[in-house]
Amino acid sequence: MTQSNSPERRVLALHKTSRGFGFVVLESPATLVDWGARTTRTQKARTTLLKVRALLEHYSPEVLLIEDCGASATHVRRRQLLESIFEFAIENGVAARRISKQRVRKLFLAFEAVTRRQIAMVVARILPDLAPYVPRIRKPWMSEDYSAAIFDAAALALAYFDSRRTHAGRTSIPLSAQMEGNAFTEIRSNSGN
Amino acid sequence: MPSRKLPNYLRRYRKLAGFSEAEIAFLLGFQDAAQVSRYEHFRAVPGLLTALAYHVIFQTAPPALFGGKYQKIERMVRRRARRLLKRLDAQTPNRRSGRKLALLRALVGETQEPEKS
Repeated sequence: MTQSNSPERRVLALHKTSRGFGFVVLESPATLVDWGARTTRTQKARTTLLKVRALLEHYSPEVLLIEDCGASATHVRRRQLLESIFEFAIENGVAARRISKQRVRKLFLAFEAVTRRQIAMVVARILPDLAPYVPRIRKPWMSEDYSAAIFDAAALALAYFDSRRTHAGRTSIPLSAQMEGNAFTEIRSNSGN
Repeated sequence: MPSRKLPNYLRRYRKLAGFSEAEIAFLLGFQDAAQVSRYEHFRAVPGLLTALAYHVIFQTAPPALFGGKYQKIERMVRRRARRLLKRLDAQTPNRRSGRKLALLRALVGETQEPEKS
């Protein structure tokens, strides 16, 4: 029986991009089940919901994670679509959570990771299975690597697991001390934290 | 891990290894990737020989490859083991029953023989 405060839940995290969305499925902070990017070219809202539904049906996650866009007046369509995804998950019996950018930044700041690429590098150390997909260094004329959205989604998921552990009172230190035998602890100690 | 695992994690291991569905199908001896896709979408269950082939390809034990299925089988076997143990405990033990009783107790998680009245 899954305990409500146990961090071991199957989560599906999504990160919306202009071309579609990236996603990861984790069964614990260190267990990557699936990852990828989905593109939506036409009828973006409808296609996105259909693809999200397919992922929800396939993986039956306990929690769906999306970015918290706040009440900003910009990116209205993006916010509306994320809200639609949120409500869709709830209607289909899946708990949904919004993770703020601040929450993600706070977690990765502890690893001195500020930029998206730096965060992606830290994610790749925590989840070595994603290492081959680290986005290339982007020059101004290059379009965004499709895999960047995967790392953004992974960052959401890791921030979620971290917040659950912190709220459960298990530790005031983020995931670092809890992850079994991986580079998280190594990175933290090397960065002097 | 979540209490309810997925029926299998074949897609995860395939992606980790960097194979396409077609390449796995070839290694398994299939004509095309359709059956591999069915396994990964939980629409079909690999047979014993295919499961062994997956074990060979990914060098990963079946409980990890077929987590949810393995959990289900384990629960069923343990339930039947409890029933058999109860039945055997009611009988007079003989020389040959010691080993099977010990195995059954290990299966159901009992650490010692029950006291007999």
